[in-house]
Amino acid sequence: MSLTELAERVDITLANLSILKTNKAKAVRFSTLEALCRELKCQPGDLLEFVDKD
Amino acid sequence: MKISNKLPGNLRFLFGFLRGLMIFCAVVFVLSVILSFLLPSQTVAQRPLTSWDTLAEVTLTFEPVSYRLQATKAPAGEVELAKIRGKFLGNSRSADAEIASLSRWHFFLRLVVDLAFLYVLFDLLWRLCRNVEKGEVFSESNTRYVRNLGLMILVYQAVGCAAGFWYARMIEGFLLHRVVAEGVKLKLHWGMEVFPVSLDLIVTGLLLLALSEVFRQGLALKKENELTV
Repeated sequence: MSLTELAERVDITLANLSILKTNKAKAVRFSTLEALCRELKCQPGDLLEFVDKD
Repeated sequence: MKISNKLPGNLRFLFGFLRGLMIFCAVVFVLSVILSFLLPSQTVAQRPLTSWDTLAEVTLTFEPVSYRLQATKAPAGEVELAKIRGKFLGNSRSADAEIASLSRWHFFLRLVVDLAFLYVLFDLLWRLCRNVEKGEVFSESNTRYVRNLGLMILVYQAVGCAAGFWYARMIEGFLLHRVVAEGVKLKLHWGMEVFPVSLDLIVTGLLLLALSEVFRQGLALKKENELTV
């Protein structure tokens, strides 16, 4: 599946998907996270990781 | 149906025009000052004799023996005139240097302060409208413009107040030492016209400062929202 197709299925813009992909997002809506997990058939933990910046 | 909003563009044009007009007025003013020094001065016979300018508002109090005031069909002493207010005029073309100088200062002070204020006001409003026309509403520059508008209005009032006070002291000194009035006492009326401040403008300046804080917080929310997917 291409990024363009994923963006359409998740109902966000390609630009916002790119922001997510490049770790520039400051916040993610639960609705977006749910849609991503549904389309990519994964768990939220597979998409999110905590990194201590200190 | 898309509704086009031409207001920012029209306002930008208006403020740009007014800003240009202030520049034009300033250039004319500077040229007239330069020309007044360069051109040969008129002879005493050619100059118009009088050009009255208002120098100040004064209160006149009357000495009791100098006038008679009586209401018809009433005994004497039933009405009294305590004091009246009027305009103290000076001839700006007077051969007396101090009188001519007072008149010039009154004109120059108001012109310079007002021109500077109006130019900065229209320039900031022009920049604000230009940004809004581009679709840029909550931004660092707009926040700065709105804050500077508020600060500038307050500074204008403070400068106007200080200039008015300084000029009033000059007039008071002139009245005290140079003017002899028979039958009346001349006293400078230290009212609001001496301090040309407007409560409306001060409140507007404070409102704009508060609005700049709204812009600042709106900008913070916008930045946070931009990177929320």
